Amino acid sequence: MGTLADVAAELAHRSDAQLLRLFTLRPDAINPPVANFAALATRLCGPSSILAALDALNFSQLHALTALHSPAATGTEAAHVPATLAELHEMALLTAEIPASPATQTPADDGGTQQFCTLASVGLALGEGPPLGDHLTPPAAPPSAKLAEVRTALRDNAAASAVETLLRVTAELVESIGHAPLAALRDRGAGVRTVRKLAVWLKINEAQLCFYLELAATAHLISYDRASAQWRAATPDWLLLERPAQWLALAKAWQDSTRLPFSDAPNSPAPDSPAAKPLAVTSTLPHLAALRHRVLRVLAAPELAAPSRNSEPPNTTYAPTLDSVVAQLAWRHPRQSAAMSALVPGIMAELELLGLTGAGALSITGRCAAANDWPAALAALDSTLPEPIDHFVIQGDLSVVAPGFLAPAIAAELKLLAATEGRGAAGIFRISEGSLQGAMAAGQSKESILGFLRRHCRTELPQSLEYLIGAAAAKHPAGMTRQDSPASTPRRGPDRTTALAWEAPRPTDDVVHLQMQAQLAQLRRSPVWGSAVQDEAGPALVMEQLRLSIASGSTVWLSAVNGSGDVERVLLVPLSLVGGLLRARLNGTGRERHFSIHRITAVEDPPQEGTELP
Amino acid sequence: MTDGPLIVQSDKTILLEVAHPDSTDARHAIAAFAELERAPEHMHSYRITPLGLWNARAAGLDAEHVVDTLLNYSRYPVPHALLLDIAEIMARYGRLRLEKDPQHGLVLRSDDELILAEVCHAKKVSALLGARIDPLTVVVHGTARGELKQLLLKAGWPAEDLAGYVDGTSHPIALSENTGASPWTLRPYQRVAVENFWAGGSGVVVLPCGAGKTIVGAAAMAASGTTTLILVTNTLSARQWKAELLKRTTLTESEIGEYSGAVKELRPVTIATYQVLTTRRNGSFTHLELLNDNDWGLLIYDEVHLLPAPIFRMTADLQARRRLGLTATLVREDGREGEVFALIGPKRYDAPWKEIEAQGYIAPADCVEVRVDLARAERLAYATADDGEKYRLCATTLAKSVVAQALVAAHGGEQILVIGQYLDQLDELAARLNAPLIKGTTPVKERERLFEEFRQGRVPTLVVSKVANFSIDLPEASVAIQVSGAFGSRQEEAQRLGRLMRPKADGRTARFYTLVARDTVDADFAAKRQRFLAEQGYAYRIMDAHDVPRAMEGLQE
Repeated sequence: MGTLADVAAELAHRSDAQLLRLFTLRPDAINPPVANFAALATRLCGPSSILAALDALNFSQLHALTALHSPAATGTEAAHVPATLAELHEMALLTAEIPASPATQTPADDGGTQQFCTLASVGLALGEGPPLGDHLTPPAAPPSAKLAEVRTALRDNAAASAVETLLRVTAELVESIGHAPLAALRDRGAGVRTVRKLAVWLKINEAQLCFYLELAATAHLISYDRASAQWRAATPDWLLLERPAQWLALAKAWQDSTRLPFSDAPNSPAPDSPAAKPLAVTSTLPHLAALRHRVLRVLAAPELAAPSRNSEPPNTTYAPTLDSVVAQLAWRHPRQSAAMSALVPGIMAELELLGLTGAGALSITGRCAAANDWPAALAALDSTLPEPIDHFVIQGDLSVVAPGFLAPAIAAELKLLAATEGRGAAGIFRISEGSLQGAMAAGQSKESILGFLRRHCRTELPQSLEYLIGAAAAKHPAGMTRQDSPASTPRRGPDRTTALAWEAPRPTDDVVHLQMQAQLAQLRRSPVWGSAVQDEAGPALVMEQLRLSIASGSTVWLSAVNGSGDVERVLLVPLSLVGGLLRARLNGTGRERHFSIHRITAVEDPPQEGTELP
Repeated sequence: MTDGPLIVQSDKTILLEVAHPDSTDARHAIAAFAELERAPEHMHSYRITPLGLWNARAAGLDAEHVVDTLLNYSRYPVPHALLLDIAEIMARYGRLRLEKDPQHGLVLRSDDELILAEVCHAKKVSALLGARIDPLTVVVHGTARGELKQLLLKAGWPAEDLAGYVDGTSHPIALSENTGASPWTLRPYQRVAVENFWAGGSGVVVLPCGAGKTIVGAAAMAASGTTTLILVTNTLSARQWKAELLKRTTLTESEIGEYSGAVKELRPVTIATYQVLTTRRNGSFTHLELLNDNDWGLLIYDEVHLLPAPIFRMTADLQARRRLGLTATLVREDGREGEVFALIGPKRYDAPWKEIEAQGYIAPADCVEVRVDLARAERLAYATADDGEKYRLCATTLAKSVVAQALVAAHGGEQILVIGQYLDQLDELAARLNAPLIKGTTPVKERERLFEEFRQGRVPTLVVSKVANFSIDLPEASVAIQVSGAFGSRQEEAQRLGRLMRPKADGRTARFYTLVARDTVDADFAAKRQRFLAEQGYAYRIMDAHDVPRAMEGLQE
């Protein structure tokens, strides 16, 4: 089994390309950046990183790895497919033997003759995971998928309408929370009654509302205010963005979200699905971000998205059944299959609400998102989301209809004098004597209202409306206005610079790549081993060396801080490591002594014969 | 995405942009499954309801057709959840069928045992059912056809009625188009209305007042060619129907009977009043037999929005006969539109009033709300009155009489109706205007005489109570002044305007004035009353009482 030291040395021996590939496959290992290869090896062998890496393995990879670690490893040559082993090595779940001649050869050049070693920490983690059960022999190919044909027009319609609804309702939600913050329970969650009330008001179902709420929190549109125990609107700037940019912010936030999905999919929640509470601190699972990525990617996989069939009808896309998606994911990531069958239905419902799928089939934006090509997603969206309009018509029954998405600034001003009626792609409002009096009370004047309406109304104002505005004004003589109404100052319209600035802080793929390059340069600059005491790898290395010498009964130099704060160096034979204490026999005297492990700063092998003590 | 004339909202309404070049096509396409809800000037709104969708299924449309229509004409993406709903709802129609079984008579049959089990489990439904013939079929009591359909509809499993209609006694009737002294032809919309009705079997035709609903009835009778029972609101209306049928069809005096409080004639075509049918003697409806007496091939319900509850129940037993409902406003203040649908039938034809007006078949109308101020003393009385008295107090303010007088004077030479709710007020007005008054206690003969005088132009102004709300044909009336009404009744407002809508010989615009006391419940009720007409595109102008003289000068010029 490879030790940390072996791993560090082997990592140092890898080519730049291999290291960059490793950083891509296991991004947690360099976040935050590490100082040297020893530290990198320590990260990669840490239990959480190993578990995350194992969760990402597909059936054959996992099968090979399990076989290598099983006691009867010798009998499972069948699993030792060189390609699979190379993949595992790529992910640093196996180490390779470094060729004896240290010169120019890298492991990759050896091809099939490569010898791999297992890692102790991987073995431990494998033991903790769910057993592979009956599937010890991996299926040769992913399970065949059940697909429903979906007309492209239907898919595009569903996706576009989902995006429209998402943006409209989220904006309404944020605005509403801006006016009246959301009372939170002790775990920061939104109460059942709050959710119900909001859902009724927004005319959507509760599961949908919970998703929009979670998304608003994830994208930092609303934030928790500890002092008042309320959720408040945090980033009204989002409201000023153009709609494609709004969507992008939400979609990206979703992809990285570790929040439990809320689902109204018919087959869910699965009986064992975790009970999610909207906005509650507890409704989080760390691997959910990765799972969301995986669902999206698996939908884009050829076997689900574009099966090659002999007579494929034109203008047709495919919607995989839920079971097919779960089966595909289970084949790709068997260790997570239990969790997935509970969570995937919710994630699929989320995809639909985000417009990443439409009628169950991956949409154009969804395909771009799966490929992490956000600019392309944005471009696709740009062509489906109509431009905001700046006009409306007013009818004799005093209803105001904006035949499309009314520019937010105009809508905000209109809402000051008309009540919202109906929901959908068009804005419908109604003016009444009451609503006009409300506007007057909030400081509007006859002239300002008439001016605003004439500017934006495409048709002649009904005579009765002009009369009613005059009548309302007569009841509110100038100077009698209430200045305390925050609604009386509508926000000005969005401008492009704010929109762009708001997007800027998010790391783009370029930035990620630069970060990897910088990390690589840092590793190449530093010695494989830093100063053990300060180094991140220090404690792990110390423990590993102690365990090894306990196992072999060898003598080591141990440095430890004593009670007066001085570092003492003792030559000893470690005996056991229990309960945070090292029991060791001192060399020479044969006396046993205990050291608290947190006081141990370094463990070194005794000098070879003929060399000086350090 | 197209640049279509429709916008489909997530709340299941459809907006139709009237000015769009494709709006006519789109309207015809969606009329098959969506209900016209409002028709103001620029944007009409339709609603997608389960009833409408089942209706479409009954007419042979499938969900895919409906979805395609929406996608084709919609300007923006259509909410996907709505499309799924449409498919789901439409799939429910016809899972249960009412059929004639040669051995067992009327049966309820399903292709799904579970659905049949579900509906049969309901107590109300099971009471109407007989023995189970097999797992998929159950006997239905012969008289329960209507009630069963109604209950199944409520349960969300509308039955497809394949049991058919009885033919009724044959009695040839033909329209007298293009004959006689004043040749006439069926108008295009009347023709479509009758065709839709006939194709659908039973149902309701909605046409504005004055647009010739009686002729639609006559044409339906001609299509049926059977004995017909016509149910109307009152005796006057019955006589108008008779006169109209004599004029428009080949029927003769002897073939048409009146069945009212005054006369009880049973003829091949019988016109009965709702009132006589619902008259009880010793706790039972004595004249109900009429419905079953004759083997009617067609039943016509005039002003179906007024259909009284007992008739509803009786109609439930008449499901085997063709039924035609006629109305201008399928707005029931009692919210029983659904029952009209289930028992008479679905809406077979509906046209925006303004569209018929644009074709010149009804008179254009100008609606004006005149706001009057209460005098100081009245205001005080109003402020201190009980809630129950408040409306009466403000609605009958003397200020209204003064304005009404000014308006009558300004419209000299025209046929004017002054309409109100309260008799004291009407008495005062009649005296002030020196005009005859028609109210509930006025004998039918006297009413007929006064209306005839009015039609002939010998009486220029009539003061009338709510007895003249409906079905009174006064072709040359061109001005109505409404001084008070039945609180916030939308259909009363529409019916009163309707009195003016027969096209005038000189093409004059009709004027409908409604007098409203400012800052009182009268104003609130007025706003509610006007809603239906405003949604039909009748934009009310608002005027202050003190501006009336100046406005009238403008009118005279």
